[in-house]
Amino acid sequence: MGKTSKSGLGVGTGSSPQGSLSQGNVDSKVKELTKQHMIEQLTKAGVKFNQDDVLFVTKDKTDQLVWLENGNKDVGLTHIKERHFSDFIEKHGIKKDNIVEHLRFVITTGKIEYSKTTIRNGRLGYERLYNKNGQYYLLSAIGTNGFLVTAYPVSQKTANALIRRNKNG
Amino acid sequence: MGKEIVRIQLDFLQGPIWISDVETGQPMTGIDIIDNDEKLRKINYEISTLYSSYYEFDSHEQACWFNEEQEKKDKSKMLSLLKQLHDRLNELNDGSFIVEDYETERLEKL
Repeated sequence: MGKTSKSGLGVGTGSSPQGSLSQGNVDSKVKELTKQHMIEQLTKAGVKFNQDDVLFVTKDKTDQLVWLENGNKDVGLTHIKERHFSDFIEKHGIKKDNIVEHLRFVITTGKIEYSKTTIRNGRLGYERLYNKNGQYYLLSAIGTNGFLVTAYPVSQKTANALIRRNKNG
Repeated sequence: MGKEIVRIQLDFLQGPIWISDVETGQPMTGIDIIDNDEKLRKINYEISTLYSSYYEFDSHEQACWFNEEQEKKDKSKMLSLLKQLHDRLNELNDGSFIVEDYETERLEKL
C-alpha cells in the first residue's frame, strides 16, 4: 500500500486545492487585480499615465476621477512627502508611510467643501477642500485630467476661512 | 506673546504666502496687516501665477509635467519677486510675525 503525501502547492490530488490558496498568493492576486482595475479606469478615461507609477485611482463624491502617481520632486507622492510630510504629522497625525492610504481615504469618502476652477497663465486646475468628519481637512490641487498634483492638511481654522471665502463664490 | 509664523512656500495653485486665496492671491494668514495689503497681494499673485505656469497636464507623455527648464530660465525673475515679497513683509512687520522661507535657498541652487 502506497503512502500518500501532502504536496502543498496545487499539485498532487484534486482533493487538496487549498494548497494553492496560501495567503501570500491571495494577497498578490488581489494586488494584481487592483492594479489592473486601476489601469483599466485610466485607460478608459483617456488620460496619459505612467503604469508603473500609479498608486491609487479613485472617484470622489462628485464623481471626479482622482489618481496619484509616485511622481517626482514637483508632482505626486514624492512631491507631497518632500514638501508636506510635517503637515501630515502635525495636523493629521499621519506618518510618511501612511500618506497614500490616508489620501485615498479622505478623497474617496470626504465631503467636498468647495471646488474652485482656476486658470493661471492659461493653466487650468482645480483646488478642492476635502473634509473627513471635521477631523481631516485636506486641500488639494488636481489637474484637469484628475491627476493629484499636490495635497496638504490645513487646520480647521484655515479650512473655515477657506470655506467662508469659496463656498458660494 | 508668541510670534506668528508666516511660511513662504510654492506649490501648484498655492503660495508663496502659505495659505493664499487661489483666485486672487490674497494671503490668508490670519494676520490683518498682511492679509489686507494690496501691494503684497499683487506680488503674491504674480509669483503664484508664474510658478503654476510650469505645470502642464497630459504633456510630454506624462499626466503632469513640470517645466524645470523654464523654472531655471526664470530663476532671476523669481528671486527678484521673492525679494520684493520679503521687502514688503519687512515694511509691514510690526514685530508680530516672523517669516520662514522654504523657497529662496532652493531657487538659488537651481
